[in-house]
Amino acid sequence: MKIKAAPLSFIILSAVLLSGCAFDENGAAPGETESASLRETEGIPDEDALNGLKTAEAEAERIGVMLPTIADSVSADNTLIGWGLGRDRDDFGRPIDAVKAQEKYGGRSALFIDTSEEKRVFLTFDEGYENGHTAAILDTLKEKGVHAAFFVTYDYCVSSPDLVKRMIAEGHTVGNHSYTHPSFPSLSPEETEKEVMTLHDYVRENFGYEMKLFRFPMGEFSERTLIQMESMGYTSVFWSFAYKDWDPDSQPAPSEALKTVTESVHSGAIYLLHAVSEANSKALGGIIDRWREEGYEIADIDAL
Amino acid sequence: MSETFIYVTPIEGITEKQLAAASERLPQWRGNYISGKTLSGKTEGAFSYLLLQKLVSERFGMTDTAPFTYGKFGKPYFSDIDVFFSISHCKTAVAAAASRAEVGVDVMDNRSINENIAPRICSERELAKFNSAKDKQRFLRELWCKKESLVKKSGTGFSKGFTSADTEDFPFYLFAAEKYTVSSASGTDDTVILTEIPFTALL
Repeated sequence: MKIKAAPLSFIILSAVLLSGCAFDENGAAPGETESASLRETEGIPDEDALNGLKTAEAEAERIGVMLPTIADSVSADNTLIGWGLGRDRDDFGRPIDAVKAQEKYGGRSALFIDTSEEKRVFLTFDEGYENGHTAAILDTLKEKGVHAAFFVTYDYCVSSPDLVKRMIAEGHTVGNHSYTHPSFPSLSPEETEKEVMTLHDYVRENFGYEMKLFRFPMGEFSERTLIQMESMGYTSVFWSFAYKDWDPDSQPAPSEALKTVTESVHSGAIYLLHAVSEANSKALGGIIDRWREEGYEIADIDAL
Repeated sequence: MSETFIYVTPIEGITEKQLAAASERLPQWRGNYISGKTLSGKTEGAFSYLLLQKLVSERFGMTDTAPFTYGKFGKPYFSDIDVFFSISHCKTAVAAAASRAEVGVDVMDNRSINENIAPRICSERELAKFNSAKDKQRFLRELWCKKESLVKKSGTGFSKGFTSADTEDFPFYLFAAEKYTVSSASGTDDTVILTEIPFTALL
């Protein structure tokens, strides 16, 4: 995991994440002149956070729910973390970075790897734009009886609605990959909500589907954005395997793709493949067969 | 049995000039209170106070709303008079409620909610209703608004978790406008009277 410099870092103190409807920014009561530290300690809410809302707030944080009038009181770090994996593996052949990240962030509805030690893997595809290979990928998945997750952007939904409909109809999971694919730690809480919920509403209205999985564009997240995602009812899905398959002009041979993807197999693996890749599309059937030969089940990520 | 009065004011489209005029009308303590806030925070803070002032003046004959005192959990009260109140604000509207008995009011913008969170906030009875609700967005929005007004009336609402604070056990007054939803929780036998006030009436 690479932690980049922190120009975007800021702390939210009692910030109102989803609306202006709750605690005020500094928790100060009117007409009071006590020191800032006392105010912070006592957290005196304003009039829109009346009797008992302190317990409501604690409860909201405990179960990770933030509805439109509940403020987020957590002081969360917004340092940009670019998700990437080192080469080190543990005794089970699992990337150590993924296992560690799962331990660190798993409590915030984030998935990097399934650490249950079951011999199963999960297939996920990112769909930024359609490059003509998704239909073939869906054909292969159907033929092999495998369910995958497809993370779509708004542009993808608008330009390829029939493929999105097919994903849903054939039992795959459609996940939210944001409205315009920005780096999330650079967004304000309001902008973050807009990026997620605009697409959420679009998919609900046009496909009758309520998304619950989210993938951060470029894998760039922060503790603050992770918490906000959870508050909006989302599980953030990262990956424990990815490779350079996203450049249509620089595709590996399908045999090479097969080798790269299958030799990295490990228990609980979450595979990120890009559907723009011709190599992935051609190698997919063989990849699934090889995994199964080695005793891995290709499981539905909804089961997690 | 008593009467609960609710005033609601849509606050969209208020200009900076109008906000300045409203701020002029605030007592100094209230002016200090909103001074550090963002523009929308100032607008909400100023107009919600002026709305409360209008409400208690018109309905309870109060001419003075000295700085509030605060209860154990931060609920504000008037210092010397037996009138309870509650105020709430969001981007599109402000609301104030007052009564001779404890009252809680909540106003929220009509914005989208991810329906996957329903099991985390609903009691069993509420979840059954959610599952059969035709307009699930509206159901969740109103449910949350009710729960919020309930904890603003009484401090014990969420102490056992969102799912155990069952709105089915309490009466609510609900008002759904195009842009916002208002809920008030008061006594079982209360008569509730809601009035919409244009923001120009507060300048």
